[in-house]
Amino acid sequence: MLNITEEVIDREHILSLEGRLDTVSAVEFDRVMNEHLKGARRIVVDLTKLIYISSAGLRVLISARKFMKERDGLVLRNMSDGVREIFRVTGMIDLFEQE
Amino acid sequence: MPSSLTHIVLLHSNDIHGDFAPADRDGIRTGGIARLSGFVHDVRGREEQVIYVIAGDMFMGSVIDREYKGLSTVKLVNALEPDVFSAGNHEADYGLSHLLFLEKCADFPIVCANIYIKELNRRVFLPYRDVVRGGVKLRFIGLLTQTVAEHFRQEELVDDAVSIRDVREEIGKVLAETAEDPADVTILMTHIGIEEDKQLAESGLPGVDFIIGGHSHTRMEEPLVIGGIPIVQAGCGSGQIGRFDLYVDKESRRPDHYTWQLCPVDETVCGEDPLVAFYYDRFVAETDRKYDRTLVTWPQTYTHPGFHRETELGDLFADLYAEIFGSDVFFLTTNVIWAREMGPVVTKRDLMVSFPYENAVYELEMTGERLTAMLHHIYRREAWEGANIFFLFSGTLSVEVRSGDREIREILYRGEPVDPAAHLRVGITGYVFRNITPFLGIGQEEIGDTVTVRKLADNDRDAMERHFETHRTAAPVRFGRLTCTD
Repeated sequence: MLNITEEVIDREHILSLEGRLDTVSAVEFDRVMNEHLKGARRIVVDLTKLIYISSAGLRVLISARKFMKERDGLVLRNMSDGVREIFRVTGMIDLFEQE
Repeated sequence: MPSSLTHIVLLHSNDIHGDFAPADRDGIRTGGIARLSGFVHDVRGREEQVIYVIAGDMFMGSVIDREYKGLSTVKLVNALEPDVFSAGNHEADYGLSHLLFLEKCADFPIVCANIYIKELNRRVFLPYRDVVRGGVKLRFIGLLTQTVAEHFRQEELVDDAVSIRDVREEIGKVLAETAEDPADVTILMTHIGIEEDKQLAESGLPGVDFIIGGHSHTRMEEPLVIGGIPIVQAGCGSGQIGRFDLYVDKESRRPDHYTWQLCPVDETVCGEDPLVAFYYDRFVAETDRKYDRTLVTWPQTYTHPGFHRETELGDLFADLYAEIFGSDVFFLTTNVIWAREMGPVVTKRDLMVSFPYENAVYELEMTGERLTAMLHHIYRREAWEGANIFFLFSGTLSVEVRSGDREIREILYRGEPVDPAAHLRVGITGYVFRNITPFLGIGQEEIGDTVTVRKLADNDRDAMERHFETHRTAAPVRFGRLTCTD
């Protein structure tokens, strides 16, 4: 189960995730992300309340990062230790800008 | 499409064998694990009901796979997200016990109905997996060739503990076990080769709708329908994928009709999956650092175009083994060499890819008479007609075989008829030693009696690598040591 909260402040789009980003919920996250990719200058994904991320979730983030490269980018905010470990093990910890 | 039908897209691959790198085919970037994943995820994005299955042999064939003993492959396949994966014979190449660890790392179900723990009469893997799409229940039953037993022999304890049971009997058992919970569509994922698939379908398979095969690397342009059952395979590697468009009647819940095609996986039809591309690039960077160094430069490229004949590369390696291990004659099975060609520059990566298996090396001391009898067993008629195993030997030996009946006409050792009383040191790999009776015709009772055995090395590839450090080129190869004449 994943809850996505969306907030837009001056073309900075903040997506806050709560719960599990798995194969099933990644479909919805992908749809929401694609909506925001259209007009965002910068996207912040807040992971404070995310407890798990699967390959499907990582795919959405890495695709979005590629898309946002020519703008101000995609930023991950407040990773929990568990999610950070997944990013570390997959080698993606240094791929994303974090704050 | 009539509203009475449910449309399901069923994608399938087999025998990918570590074919993770894209290739250039007529100027078009083709295949590669990232593009294969891109294809699968594109279809998942476009179609409502999609299933993706892999019918065995994902492992082996690449340095990336070998370096991490399959863990890298599992990571890549996790990102491919297959709904079902049936075990192939090469999944056991790192040993069954290691495969069970890899299974725990896999985020997808591995099925195989016919591997059993003997003592407990219990299956090692799930026999089947049900996948429900659009209210239709599809059952995928995994089945494995019995030749995998050769690989299990790498692990003596495991070999004693497990057995590979008859495919046909296991199908019957699974269908009986699930009789009260039947599926709407039943699909066999058989890693047994197209010939056995045909025999299976010919013998009648009530309750089975489709066979998705593997093992024989058969590239099909259309399904082979036998006994009403379509049999398909998608060749090998990642440059193409099989696609069923299956239409299931909503009322009867039975397949109404289907189409099947072999789809190219290239840059004209899909992009790369950025996640898999990221993983793959990291593995490549790590292995490049380690393996892209030149071991040896040969005077030419040596080829290995087939498994049932003498080849330049086979001759070269048989000679190398004989030289390294001091054998009077060395016998090498042609299937240990995976490269189609090697040289002139040979890197460590080339050696790893071309010789994916590490083998021990043994010496058999025997008389010329026993060697002659062994040669008659090795080159018996069946060996020439598509058997799994075919031998080449080092250049001290010459064997002439009659074309018609494949009878051996002449055997020469160092240009002279073999002296029946001579004592000869015959080199073989551990793989051959483990199968000494079926491969060489030497019974266990002969060992220590007419045949003396000595272990020479634990790892042939390490020995070869050390040899290349001091032998930077290769001696000329005498081709034509195994001849067929009228």
